[in-house]
Amino acid sequence: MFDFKILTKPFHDTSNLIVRKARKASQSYFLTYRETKPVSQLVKSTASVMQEYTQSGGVRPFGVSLLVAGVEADKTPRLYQVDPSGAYFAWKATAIGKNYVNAKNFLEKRYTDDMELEDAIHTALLTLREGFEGEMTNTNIEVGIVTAADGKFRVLTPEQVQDYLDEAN
Amino acid sequence: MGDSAYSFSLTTFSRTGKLLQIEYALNAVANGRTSLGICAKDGVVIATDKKLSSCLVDTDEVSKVQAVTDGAGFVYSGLGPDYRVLGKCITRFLSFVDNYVVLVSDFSRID
Repeated sequence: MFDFKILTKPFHDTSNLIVRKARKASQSYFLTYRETKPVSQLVKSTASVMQEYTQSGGVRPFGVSLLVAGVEADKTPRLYQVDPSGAYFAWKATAIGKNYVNAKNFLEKRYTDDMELEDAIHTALLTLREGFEGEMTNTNIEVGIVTAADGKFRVLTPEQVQDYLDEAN
Repeated sequence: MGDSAYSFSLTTFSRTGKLLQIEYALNAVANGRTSLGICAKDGVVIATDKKLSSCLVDTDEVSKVQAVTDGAGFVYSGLGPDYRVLGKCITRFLSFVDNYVVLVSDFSRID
């Protein structure tokens, strides 16, 4: 039992470390401006880092694209995509990774301007299911939401994901 | 000499004006697990497929959606290890930039 703990811990700790460090970084923004770093600033900084890795020697670009969900200081919800080139885009809805073309087509058909968060979660799960190999469960997908009302980002627990999955069935 | 002759060097443009390594990086992303996001009136949702290669992998130890600040979260498609390192680079960059702002604002108060 002990051995398992030791084997799994380093990975767990590293991923927490990044979040902890990023939080610390955003705290210094808070100390200067007395507000949380707006999502647009976060995206710009992130894109700058990624661009740097396309123009420096001895490095390679990051093999990742990011989707960033957040709210602006004025409570506007925003969704951004950041690419390995350092390019970033704000989207109403988008998809990246395997099968992104089909997922985007699906989203284009389903998206409406007056969509509320609950509908959006529902649509997100339906879209994800389109290209999903096998059955979607609360352990093989992950969902994060940010609400404009309180401006907080949270990762949904497997129980919450299960509720939405039941709804989508 | 075709485009491929330039593909070894990231910082050299090919004759057709492309940076091939960046295009290859985008291919790496397109091979990664699907992630998607929708921006609604009152919030944003991001979701991802985190299906694993084997059912024996402990899913508790795998998380792809993360809060970065109180009000913003990331999800990625592509190479997991690259994402982890990117997180570190961003942190370093952010603390550098933000500390710089602190220094400048302190300086301007002197006059």
